[in-house]
Amino acid sequence: MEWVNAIVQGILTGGLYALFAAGLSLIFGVMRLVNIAHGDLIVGAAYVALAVISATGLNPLASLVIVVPVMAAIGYGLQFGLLNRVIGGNILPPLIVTFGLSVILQNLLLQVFSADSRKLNAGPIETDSLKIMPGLDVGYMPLLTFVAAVLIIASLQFLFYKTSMGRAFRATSDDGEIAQIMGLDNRRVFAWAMALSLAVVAVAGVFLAIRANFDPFMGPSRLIFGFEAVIIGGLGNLWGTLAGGVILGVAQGLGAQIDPGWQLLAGHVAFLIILAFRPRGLFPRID
Amino acid sequence: MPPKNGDIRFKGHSILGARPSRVTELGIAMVPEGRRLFRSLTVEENLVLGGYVKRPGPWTLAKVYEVFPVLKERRHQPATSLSGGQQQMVAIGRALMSNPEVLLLDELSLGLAPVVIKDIYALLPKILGEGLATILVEQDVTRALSVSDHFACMLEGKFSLKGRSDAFSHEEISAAYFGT
Amino acid sequence: MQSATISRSTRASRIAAGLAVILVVALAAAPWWTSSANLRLFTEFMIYLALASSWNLLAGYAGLISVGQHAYVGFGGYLMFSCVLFLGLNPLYAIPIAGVLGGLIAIPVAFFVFRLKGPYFAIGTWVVAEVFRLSAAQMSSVGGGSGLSIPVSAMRALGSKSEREILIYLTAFALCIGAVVVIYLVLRSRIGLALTAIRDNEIASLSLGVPIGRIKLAVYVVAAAGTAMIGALIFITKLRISPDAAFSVNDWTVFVIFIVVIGGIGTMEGPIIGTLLYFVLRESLADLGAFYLMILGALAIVIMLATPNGLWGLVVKRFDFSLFPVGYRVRGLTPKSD
Repeated sequence: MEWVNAIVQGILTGGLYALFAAGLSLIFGVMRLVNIAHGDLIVGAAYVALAVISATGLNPLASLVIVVPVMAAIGYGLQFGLLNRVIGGNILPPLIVTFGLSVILQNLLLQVFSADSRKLNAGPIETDSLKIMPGLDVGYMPLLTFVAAVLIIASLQFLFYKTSMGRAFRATSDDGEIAQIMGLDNRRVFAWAMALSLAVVAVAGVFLAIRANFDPFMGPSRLIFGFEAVIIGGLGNLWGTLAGGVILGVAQGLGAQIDPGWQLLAGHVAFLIILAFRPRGLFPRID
Repeated sequence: MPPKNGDIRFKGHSILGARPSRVTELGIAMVPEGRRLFRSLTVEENLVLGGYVKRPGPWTLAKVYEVFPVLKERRHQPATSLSGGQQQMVAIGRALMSNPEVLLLDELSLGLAPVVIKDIYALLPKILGEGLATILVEQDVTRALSVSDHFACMLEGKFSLKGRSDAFSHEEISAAYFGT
Repeated sequence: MQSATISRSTRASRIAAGLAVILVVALAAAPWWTSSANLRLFTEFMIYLALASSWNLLAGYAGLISVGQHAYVGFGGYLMFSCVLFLGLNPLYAIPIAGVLGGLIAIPVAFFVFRLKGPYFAIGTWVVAEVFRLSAAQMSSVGGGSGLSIPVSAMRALGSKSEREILIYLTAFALCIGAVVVIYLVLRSRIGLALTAIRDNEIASLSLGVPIGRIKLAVYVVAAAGTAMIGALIFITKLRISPDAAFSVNDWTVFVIFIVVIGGIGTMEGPIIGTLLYFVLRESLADLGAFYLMILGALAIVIMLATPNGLWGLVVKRFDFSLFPVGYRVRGLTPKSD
């Protein structure tokens, strides 16, 4: 039963990793950008929520009403004002610029909020759980995280393939030059993509902050989890990203079951094994 | 490549170095060489995107489907799954959707089978009937002359011959074309 | 008929070479003319310059943008500790061993990370460094998660405190000069030519028969070996090791990347300028704490936007000048005009 429990909890944690990964996957799909500051932005969103909650007294989940638009606006501005200048061509400038952003963000958070670890308090939902059978309890919060991940990925999928914004994303990703001739403005399309990515980041940050302690320096490992989920699932495949997150979560859960020290190691090893045998991921987009 | 001097003007606006979308807004549309359809978009999505710049005029999705009925049948297929000729139709339809005043057709016959080229050219008069000025860049001289009113030959960046399409013999044109 | 001369060096680069020789001799003699505090600072300078030069070879010349070189720093450090603890070796003798084993372990690592392209390669190398760190934390024989200190007896083998400092400084000096010379020779060899070809046009060089995969692997292995040797030395100076210190992304990767980018990536001189600037900033802004790191990050961003070839790139553009002539120069040829 312990093992079944480890797998079930792992699957649910996978939902959180899919939330870390979805925004990363989205901007890579639209503009081939890998944002090294992605993890730090997730943590940044958690601090924004912290600030909103202490100012308004809202429940962390309700604070999303403010945190999501704030992060989306930051994303739009960041892309329009800075990242658009380094996109296309050489891969070094965007890497260094987002790397620099990552360092700036970590130290900014340190300066403003100190190194103490924090947590968002969502009330009784945090500890309540659903008894499925003896020895297998499913917490409401992990369940809610997983449902949120499924909903977000389904809506991103819908947005990508059924709306005019998604059409613009795909057209710009296919052939930016022709898309511009058709009247699309690349700079704005990219800015909207980053806004969307950071809207997802906002949700990821709030769920992270309700489920665990956070501090200014935990961004890079969230980036790595998200990155691993994207690669395991296959580049450009959003449902694949969810599967990637679940595989990572289960691997970590099983590792922790063997020895608590192996939790993270087991996740990385699973990633490396998949990389060795399926370098394009488990579900690469067919084109 | 930016030009050293000179200007390109259209309806009183300088369009040299203007954003590509601005040129389309002013009423110039292009069918690019090699078609360059959006590969992750369906036929219909490609056409709709062509109408992103909303200019008033006769061309609508329905009108494009009327001229190219085969596209209506395949509208939900990925654009790049179509045959070369049908892809060229999508490219033309996509350009028309912006209701241009000037249509630029670049290497219309490139990479297409002769039968398909014939079909496309047979459709051109029907498309151009509505007072649409068209600039066709084409290696297939005979076909280009058959649909055009005026022509110009260029050799190493300079005009070598220009005039009415019916005013010169084939030999005179090919001499200008090859620079012999 | 026009005449043209093709040369590697220029008058400026020959004068600079003369000055550089004098500087190198002076630095070699540093233990005899400077204080012990300065000597420690110089040691650290040499360590950072060597790290920066190896990263520059990797990213600037081979296009392998790794953000996980701290894997090899930590590997070298732990290897040195293992040699001292389990084999009773003199710590300095562990340095070449760290080089060989660091190069060897880079081969299976490359098997994994070379499957990832461009920016994904970067994060993949980071994952590997995480694996190294977590594995080190699992090994209780080298102190597990909390780490351990080097036995006093091992350090006594290196002599008195001041003798030790001189020995360590000279080792750092030798490693640093060694790194710069090796990179210089690599760049002037056929591999250097191939790297330039790959940088200019990867597909064209592949079709010309340049074995891109093997050359990149060779560069990756050489950089890993060098970084592991420096890692071994770093933890001789620190006397203590722990997984977090050994595999610190900030200390061994972030600073190194910023040094190279600010100085000028893809140039021999860039890492030197960058390391100098890094130490000047550190000594003058260290009191600012977190702000200092934010300034460094912002500087790297500004450099990338304004002058992607770094500060040295600005100098070259203005004065057409090079300290390390790794390319060829054509003089006296005017463009044909007809």
